[in-house]
Amino acid sequence: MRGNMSDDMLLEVRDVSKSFPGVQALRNVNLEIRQNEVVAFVGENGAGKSTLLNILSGLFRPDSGEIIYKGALYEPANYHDATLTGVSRVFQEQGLVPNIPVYENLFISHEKRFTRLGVLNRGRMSHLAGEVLADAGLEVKPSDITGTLPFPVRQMLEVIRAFAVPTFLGVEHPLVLLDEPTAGLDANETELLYARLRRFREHGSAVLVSHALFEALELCDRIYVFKDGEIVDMVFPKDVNESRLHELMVGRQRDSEYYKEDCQRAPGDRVVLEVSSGCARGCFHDVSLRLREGEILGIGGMLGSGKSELGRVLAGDLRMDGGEMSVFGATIGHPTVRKMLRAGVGYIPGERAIEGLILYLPVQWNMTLPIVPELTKAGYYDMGEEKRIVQKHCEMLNIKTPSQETLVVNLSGGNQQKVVLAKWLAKEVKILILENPTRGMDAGVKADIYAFLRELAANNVSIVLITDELLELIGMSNSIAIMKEGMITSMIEATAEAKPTEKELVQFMV
Amino acid sequence: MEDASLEHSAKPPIAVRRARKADLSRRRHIVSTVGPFATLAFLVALFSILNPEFLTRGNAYSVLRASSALLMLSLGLTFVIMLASIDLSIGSIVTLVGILTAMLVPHLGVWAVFASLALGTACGLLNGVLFTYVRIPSFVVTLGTLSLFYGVSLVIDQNTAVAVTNEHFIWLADGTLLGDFPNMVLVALVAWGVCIFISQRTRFGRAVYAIGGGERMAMLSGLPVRRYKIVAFMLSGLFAGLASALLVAKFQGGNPEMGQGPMLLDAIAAVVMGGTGLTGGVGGPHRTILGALVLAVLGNGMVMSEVGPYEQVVIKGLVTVIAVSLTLDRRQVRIAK
Amino acid sequence: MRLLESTTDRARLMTNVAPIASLVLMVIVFSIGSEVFFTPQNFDNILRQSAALLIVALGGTFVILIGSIDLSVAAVIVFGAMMTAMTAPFLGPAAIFVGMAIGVAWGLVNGLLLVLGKLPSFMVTLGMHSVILGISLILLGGGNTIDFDNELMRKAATAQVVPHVPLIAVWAFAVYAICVLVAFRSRLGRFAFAIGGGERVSQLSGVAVGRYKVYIFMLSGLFAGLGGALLAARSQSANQEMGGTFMLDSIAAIVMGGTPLTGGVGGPHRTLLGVLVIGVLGNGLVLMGVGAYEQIAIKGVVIVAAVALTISRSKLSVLK
Repeated sequence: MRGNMSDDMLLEVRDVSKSFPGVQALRNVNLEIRQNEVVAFVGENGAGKSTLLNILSGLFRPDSGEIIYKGALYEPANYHDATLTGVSRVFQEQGLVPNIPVYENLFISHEKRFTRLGVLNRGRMSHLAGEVLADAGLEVKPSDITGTLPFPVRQMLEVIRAFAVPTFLGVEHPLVLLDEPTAGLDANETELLYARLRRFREHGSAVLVSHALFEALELCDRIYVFKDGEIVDMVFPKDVNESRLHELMVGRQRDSEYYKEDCQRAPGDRVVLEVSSGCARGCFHDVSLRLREGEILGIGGMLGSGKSELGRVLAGDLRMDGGEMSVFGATIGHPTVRKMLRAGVGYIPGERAIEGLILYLPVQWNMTLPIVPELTKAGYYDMGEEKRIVQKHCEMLNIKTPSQETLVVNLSGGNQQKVVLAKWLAKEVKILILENPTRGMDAGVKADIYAFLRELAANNVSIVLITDELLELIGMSNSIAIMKEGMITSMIEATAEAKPTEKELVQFMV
Repeated sequence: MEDASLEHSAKPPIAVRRARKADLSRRRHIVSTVGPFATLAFLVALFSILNPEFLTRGNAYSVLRASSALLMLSLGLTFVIMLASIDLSIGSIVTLVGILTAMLVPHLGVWAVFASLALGTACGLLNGVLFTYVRIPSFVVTLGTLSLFYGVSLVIDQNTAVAVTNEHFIWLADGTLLGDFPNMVLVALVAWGVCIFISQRTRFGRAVYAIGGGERMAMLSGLPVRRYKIVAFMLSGLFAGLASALLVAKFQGGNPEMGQGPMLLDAIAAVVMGGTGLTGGVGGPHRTILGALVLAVLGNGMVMSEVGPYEQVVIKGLVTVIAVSLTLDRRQVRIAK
Repeated sequence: MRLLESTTDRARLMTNVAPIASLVLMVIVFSIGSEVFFTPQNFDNILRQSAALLIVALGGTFVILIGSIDLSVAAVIVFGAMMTAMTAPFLGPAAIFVGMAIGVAWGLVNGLLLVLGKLPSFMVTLGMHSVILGISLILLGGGNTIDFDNELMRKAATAQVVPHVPLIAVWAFAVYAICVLVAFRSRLGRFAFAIGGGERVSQLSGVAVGRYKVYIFMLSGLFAGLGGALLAARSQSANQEMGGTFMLDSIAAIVMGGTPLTGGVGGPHRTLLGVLVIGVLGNGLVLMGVGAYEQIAIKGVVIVAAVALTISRSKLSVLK
């Protein structure tokens, strides 16, 4: 037992730091969680919330610092270990195995408890799972194959599992980590989850990570605010409102200079990209939009609203099942990436490392990938011309790289993203689809990218900006489309003189 | 949902909206369930028409005998394939174990069969450790050990056959413990039952499904993925060892070609045809018996219909590719490498 | 994630130093162990034995560069050799082109199955290995050898333009030079690196990924066919044994050279070194009196070790 602890202390994080190559994910984080308490972690993407959850659930080990849980040093070797001591978690990116029955998922890695003499009693597992499901009010058969259930049900299952496992293991004072548990749930389901959380609190504690700030305000006892890997503040819900909380998170009011709003100009009249009643099965339906020359069209919405799928359809990467799409007045039937590119549409996906860049190839090779055919003359690749083009774009975008031959993996996140941008500039696209172009970047790089997007727009390049960051959405866009449950629910003008507020946007989103 | 099994919940239940996806997976399910039966029926009908000798008691036994070695070999492989891995070395394990077994029979008699099992398991352990701890893709590991085991067997017996004359050992395959059913078939059926038990009623068996279906998630959930992967490779080796022992008994000796040639492709084809896709997570050893029967009927029928040995090689290659392509879950392979 | 932390730097060092170090070490050991090893005649031997392997491995390098694998090369070699031998009496040296063409055709089949069928390449080419070998056995009539006699073709393979350098080695070097140019100075080469390094990225950047994969399998088939044709020309015959250990040897050579199975890095310029390592190893083992059977076992170990040392584990998120 450790001294100097009050009686109801459950978990204490002391000076925990964690870094990854090129990123300081957590810096000297201190926090405490008491028994029967629900605390919230809020912060922008990349602020360090998920890293801390990963440490608490045994997936990462901190570089320094220590964690005290129930009075003892807490160093789980893996998630299984963490659950045995009472910490369970809802994973943001679905932690259920799709091809096995629901009951096996509920008790996965705890099968030992149902095993006697090496024989697994699946009947008992299934029966107990039935009780747990009934208790939670979820109408699912334990024998249903998990992958065949719709997304919200699977999400609920994960939440139920996180609550049920400590009870099933008989651990006292459990701690449940909820990472964006309500993403993709409708109002009914969300309410069910809240009720479950309130009930759970009578015998355990919970951490809630959420982008919906009102959830934190409504459900939690205390709120820790994360920014750039540090805890910048701890507040009580009664002392703050949503906008104040947001201010703490981003550390600033919306700064019109930052987004170069004075450079925003009215778009031209010419429609360059038009979608009418576009539909992608299971993602969005009946979406119509027009993008004009030199316009920055922002698209906002919660996770699962269909906005990123819309981006992929515009890029030709996802099949459009219905509706029509035309670029510069020419209809494009069955859009594919190559067709869209030929029409002048470039796409910068959200997953930079997986979809935007080939990490183990040089800067040069990455930047010229789309123009390899243009650079090949009579079957021979013109490396001199390549060098000139790369040089030009490195200067234009202020890309800091030791040489053109440097592997992209060795650049910082901001420079990497600039290489992706340069790729499409070299291709001279007329329309650019961007998804979360500044995620995880520091303010300086963000400002560079914003200034650059403005310049592009001034040169009559049209931009579709799909983003989770509300301030960016408001600051950059000429007009904003808000998506909800696969439909565009509202179009909001955002001229430089009359920008909407975050609050207004959020109202349309939820 | 047809019957709500949980009426007693007080709160309003969440309506379960089944996705269209479910229909697709059901269709695939039907193809992989009915497919093997249909193929079997078709082949039996075809060969019965082509050759009246095909549908006789004697020939039925020879089909059973031929399929039983293949079944044993494919059973262990099924676990590996369910993990979405592959074991290309089983043929060479059969060779190596076969030769060693044949050499041990004069000393150990019938008990040499346990040596076969142990040797096979040891080979599997080597594969598993190289795969999980040295972290090399399974097809490369087993491609390497394929060469290694084969080379070692050639070195040991200098490319000659080793005869077995011990009648007790030969009885293992040829004796008739039950009616006039060959023992070899009996052993294969018992092995089949054991594998079904392992896959349905043990922690390891259920974990194999979970790992094959979503390795990352299984790992996040805290399953000891590495350990189970090694166990799967050991089972693959174990059953290759068993198959090898019975082949030695059946052919009264071991030789350096006994596991080479078409045996590996046949085993993969049998597993995959039964309905265990290479993408992992689906199927299971209970289904592999059908694949083994299809392959055995095909082989036997081709011989009876006087298809040349080289034509048979071609046909089996085609059959493997077709079987793999029919059972692969393409939603899981966004990138085919 | 802790599970995925990389050892890239060490891996890179291994890829750069290991092949040269092992080559030097082997030369020293074999020179001490055998008087014959370090002689011009043996140099001739090594070159002759390595030439065909180099040609075959160069095609394989592109396949591995895109992250796939071609296990059917040995069968294509047999097929190419056979077609060359069968047509040589009528066509003369032009029969070599028949061998190449038939190789391309098999590569096309492999590539289409991979791309259109979305099947893993090791499975496609394992199955096709059986199909191709079976068909050539049917055409050969089993274990028969087809002999022919064409002096020009024999010369094309064995004549020594420079003392102790057979012409087949000159061809191999020519092919090597072309492959290096293709890898770094052509669309196909650029795209091969890009596809292997990031298939999604390439696709989103407008690369016709499927089409280029098929081209690359055709290239592998082309070189396997050429290898077979030259082997036939050299021995003035073709039989089912000609594929020999080419499949394992070429994979080992490629990987040892420094093109890991994960794809996207390395390249054909490095394969030369790997081929020399394998060539010297085989030659030296024979001279030291190690039997053919032991060599099969040793090669299995070599391939696993080479892969283990060079593979980029940071790129293998899930090991299958």
